[in-house]
This record gives sequence, structure tokens and C-alpha cells, in this order.
Amino acid sequence: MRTDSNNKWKESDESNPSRESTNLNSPNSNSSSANPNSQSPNNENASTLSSFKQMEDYGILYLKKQRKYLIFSAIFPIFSILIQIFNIFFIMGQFMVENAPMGHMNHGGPSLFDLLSPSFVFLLLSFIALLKFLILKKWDSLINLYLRHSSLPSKFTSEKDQATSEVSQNSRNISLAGLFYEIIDTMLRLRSVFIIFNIIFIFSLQWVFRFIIMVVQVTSDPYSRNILFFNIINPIGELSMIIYLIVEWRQFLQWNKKLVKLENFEKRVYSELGESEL
Amino acid sequence: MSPSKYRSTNLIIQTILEGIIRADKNHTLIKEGIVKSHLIQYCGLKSVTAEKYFYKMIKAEYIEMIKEPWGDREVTKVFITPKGEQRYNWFVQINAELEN
Repeated sequence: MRTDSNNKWKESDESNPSRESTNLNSPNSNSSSANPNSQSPNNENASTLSSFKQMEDYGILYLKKQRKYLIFSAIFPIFSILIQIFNIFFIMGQFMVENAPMGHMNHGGPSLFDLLSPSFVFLLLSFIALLKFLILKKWDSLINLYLRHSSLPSKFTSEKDQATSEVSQNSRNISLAGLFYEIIDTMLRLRSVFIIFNIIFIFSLQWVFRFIIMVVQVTSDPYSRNILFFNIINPIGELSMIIYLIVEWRQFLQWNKKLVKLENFEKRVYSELGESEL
Repeated sequence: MSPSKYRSTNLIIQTILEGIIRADKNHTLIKEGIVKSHLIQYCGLKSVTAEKYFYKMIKAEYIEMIKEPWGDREVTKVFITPKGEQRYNWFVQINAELEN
């Protein structure tokens, strides 16, 4: 499996036979060759990434893909937010107007529960959308920092290069590994929010269903334009929320699979480093 | 051992490996390695902490350290082994979801 890189490693040693160096490793270590039978996280036929540039490119591509997902999942709830705003105003209108089709609040019309439910859903959706936008902004700044840092010439090969480096020694370094773990931290936070969102969605589904039935029952003019608009827009909103949830569920299931693989990998690395505390 | 402990350890390990690989970014055949002090600076670690991790990684055959003459002085250079490179490779593949 990595015979080409093994040969390159050996070539570099053989090409400098006169280099006087003191090897600080254990004399019995066999560090210059990989175990071809070592188990890889993927199947045996999967190709490995042959250079850091390739790894970096794939890493950045993945980050951009996650960024697009984040934009979609932040913008989509706005549609539902607009519907909930409509619901709030509609309910408040029923509350205030005496001869409203659904009846005034004090005469068997919408209850306080009906007034608060769309508000509650609206607030939660706004919070989720805002959280995702904030995360997006943070990712953007991290990715830009990383790209700015990675485009600089390598300044770590010699002290002489360091002396002529244009980069401030105090500038923050962000690594690709750091970026990946930033995503994972974000995923874990979003997962908790998503669970709460699912509970609220079930609640809102019941509310919409119940409210539509109530609207149909109490109105004296079933063909009133307002009610018809309400009865069209809310089901569309709920249907779009279901589609949104399907997409989100798919994303989170994929993330969970990745988290499990990553945890197994971390345990393996930890065990290879030895059992004692670092 | 909590997952966060594995995670924080792995983050440091992968950052160290990345620092070494990045130093060879423009070199395809000759591995020049990276000066130890520069690597520590890149990773943002304290020297004591970095030494502990380097020791563990040498034992696990992820990296090698070689002292090289530098004029009148000696510098310690860190090189990544194929096993270390493979581990970093796997890490990137898992995170970038490059496998099914």
C-alpha cells in the first residue's frame, strides 16, 4: 500500500549518505516502512491521498460543502418564520376584532395556547437560523485565516528562512486538523438543538392540524379569503418543514456515522501512543 | 476515558503530523523535515507538553527525530514516518467523508 512513499523515504536517506546525523530514535525501531497489512478505516481498494496538497484540497472542498449545507439550513427556516408571523398576526386579529370569522377571543375563539404556539415555534426557528448564521460567520473567518496562512511560503524549514519571513510571529496558526475539529464541535452543538427542534416540530404539527380543524368548524364563511389563504399557506409550510427535516435527518445520520468512525480512530491512535497519561 | 480526552489528544497529534507534512509540501522526493522548535511554535504547545507528545509519537513510530549539524551548532529535525503519514491520511479521509 504506500510503496511509492516508502521508496521516497528510503531514497532521501540514501541520497545523503554523507549526512552526519544522530538518530534519536530507538535503534530497534523500524520507522521507515509502513506495515502493508495494517487495517485502514476504509476498504482495502480505496486510494490514499498521496500528498498534503491533495489532502488539503479535499479538506477545503469538504469545508465548502458543509458551508453550503449550513447556508441552506439557515435560510430555509426563514420561510417557516414568515408563515408563523402570518399566524401570529392572524390570531391576534381574531383576538381583537369582534366580528371576526373565528369569533372573538372571549366568545369561544382562539385560546391563549393558539396565540402562543406559533410565537413559540417562530422564536425557536429564529434562534436556530440565527445560530447557524453565527456559526457560518465564524467558519468563514477560520477558513479565511487558514487559507491566508496556507498560501504563505513554508517558513519552518530553517532558521534562516524564519529570519526573512514576512509573517508575524504572533499570528494565530490554524491547522486543517483544527478546522475539522471545529466542525465536529459545531455538529455536536447543532445535534442537541436539532433534537429540541424535532420535539417542537411535532408539537407545531399538532397545533396546525388542530387549528385548521377549529378554523373549519367555527367559521361562518368557509370561503372567506383569509381562511382560505390560511388553510393553503400552513399546510405548505408544514410540508416544507417535513422536507427540511428529512434533509436534516439525512445530514445528521451521516454525521453520526462519521463521528463513530472518528471515535474509533481516536481510540486506536490513543492506544498506539501507549496507555499512560500524556 | 472520556471521548473529549481522546479528542484533545488526537487534535494535538494530528496538528503535529500536519506541521511536519506541511513543511514538505513543496518537496516531492526529498524530505527536509522541520526544525523541532518551529514545529512546537506551529502547534502552539508548551515545550514540556510537546516533548511528551514527541516521545510518545516516536515510540509509536509516527515520527523520527534526527540531530543535524548547523554550522557550529546542532538542530533537531523532525521527520514523519510513513506510518505517521498514513495516520494523518486516514484522519483527513474520515473527516472529509471520502469513504463510504
